[in-house]
Amino acid sequence: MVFPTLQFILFFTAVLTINQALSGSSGWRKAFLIAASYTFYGAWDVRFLTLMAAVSAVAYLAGRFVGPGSLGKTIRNSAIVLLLLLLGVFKYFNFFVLPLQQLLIDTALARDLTWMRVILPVGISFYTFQAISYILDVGRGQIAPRRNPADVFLYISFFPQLVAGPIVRAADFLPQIDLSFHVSSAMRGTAVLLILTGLFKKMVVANYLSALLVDPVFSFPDIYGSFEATLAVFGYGIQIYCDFSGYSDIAIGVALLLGYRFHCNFNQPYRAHSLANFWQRWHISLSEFIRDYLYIPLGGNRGSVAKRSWNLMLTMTLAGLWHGAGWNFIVWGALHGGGLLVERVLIRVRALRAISFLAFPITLVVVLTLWIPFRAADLSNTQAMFAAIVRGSLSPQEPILPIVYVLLAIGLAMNWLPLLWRDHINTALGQIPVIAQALVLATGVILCFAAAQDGMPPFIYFQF
Amino acid sequence: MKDANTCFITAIWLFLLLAWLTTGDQFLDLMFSIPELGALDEAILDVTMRANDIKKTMGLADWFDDLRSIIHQFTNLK
Repeated sequence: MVFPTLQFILFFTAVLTINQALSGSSGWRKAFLIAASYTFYGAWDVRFLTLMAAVSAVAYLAGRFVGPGSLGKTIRNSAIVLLLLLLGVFKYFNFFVLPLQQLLIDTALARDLTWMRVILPVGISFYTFQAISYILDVGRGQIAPRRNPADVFLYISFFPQLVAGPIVRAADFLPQIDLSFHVSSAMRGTAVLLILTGLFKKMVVANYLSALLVDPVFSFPDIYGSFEATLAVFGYGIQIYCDFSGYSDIAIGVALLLGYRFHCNFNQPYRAHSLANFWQRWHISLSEFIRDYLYIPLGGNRGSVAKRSWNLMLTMTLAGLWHGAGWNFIVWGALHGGGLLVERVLIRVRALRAISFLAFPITLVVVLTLWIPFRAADLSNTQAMFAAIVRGSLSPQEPILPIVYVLLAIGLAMNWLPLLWRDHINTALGQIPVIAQALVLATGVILCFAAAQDGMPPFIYFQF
Repeated sequence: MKDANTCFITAIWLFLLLAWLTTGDQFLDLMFSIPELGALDEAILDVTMRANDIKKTMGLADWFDDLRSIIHQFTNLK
């Protein structure tokens, strides 16, 4: 089930109604939200419900037995290895086995090995990371282990953030389970704004930029010149921002209406003045996750320059691999790691002081350029895009429509408009009568649906 | 606070009813795409089709389609 569909609207309205009816009983409300989350996930593929339940069960059981002793640490490590193995099999099996299969076919040792394929369950990276977060937070003593398995099952399966994040930390989510249900007028106002912003970003900006600019150019870079190729790279930067932050906005808004608060996942990332700053603004929940659970345990900023550099490169390369089982994602992550290293050196020798006014445009160009391997189908497509960028002018068969420039401007504006404006709208929506809040939501949803294309392309981050 | 939330949800249901009345066969198409659930989906389809028949007798226009055409013509989006 995808957010911007009539199917989800009916589902969510029903969930909202029953959640409200059960607001007096924490236990029943919890059980209902688990059932709703499994229904939401099962709408994709019923077969993977057992996988999600197994991941939740591993997290729950590990949480019961982890502790400071050696046995507790062994249990913690075993559970995490098991979860990473599950993730590895479902997400990376094809990546590592397909070349081997091809070799077997090429050497006539096998004919048809299509049965040796594994289907990628939607959102597995997100809910596995949440399970790991629970085990580690309990192991570190940051949260108490939950006695009631329903708490852990709800935390891992909670449908708003289930398939594409944000990655909610156990220490942030679980204490909210214990609170009585409460949605204030301000929370409703914020939720309405977030849901409408998210729908507009996805249904209008991201989808049209994809169809009218990015997909045609990335599919056939050989027939486009420098201008169109550069514009497509810029367009993809806007598309992926609107697509992914749109999903996060809707997820955070939907969770708010159910009484749960999530942290912001994007903070105007294209305003970053350095790559390090970009990662503090882009997919914040993932950045914080890999910082706290991977980079710092590896040694972080401690040790020799070589050790710190290794920690950073390994972390960023693995972050790239987390995004998808493909060399383009590994290259993308490694290039970000390399960029962060260069940035550190330049800051250390104070080489950036003289050109600090160029920090923003240089960061933007680097980030946009690095999206090329991320978006490209493979490494040869990446090369073809770079070739198109330096090709010079070429009259395209299909000229770029004027509306594309409008969409690019809107996408940029979403990054650049002062946050104070958003806060004013937010405050106003929180103060208007409740019927007016519903009216704004309904009108906005209808306008987004009316402006949208036929059909609904999936969110980019569903594949991760 | 609880009453305000109930009011919000009731208003959403009313807007959904309004949306159903003014969006042609969108809801009917959705019901035909739900997975097979045996007697349950047959019952849902039956109710939806009966409701759609009643809606047709009211002679309501597909305002959503009109709005969609206006927006797409105005913005040149297809």
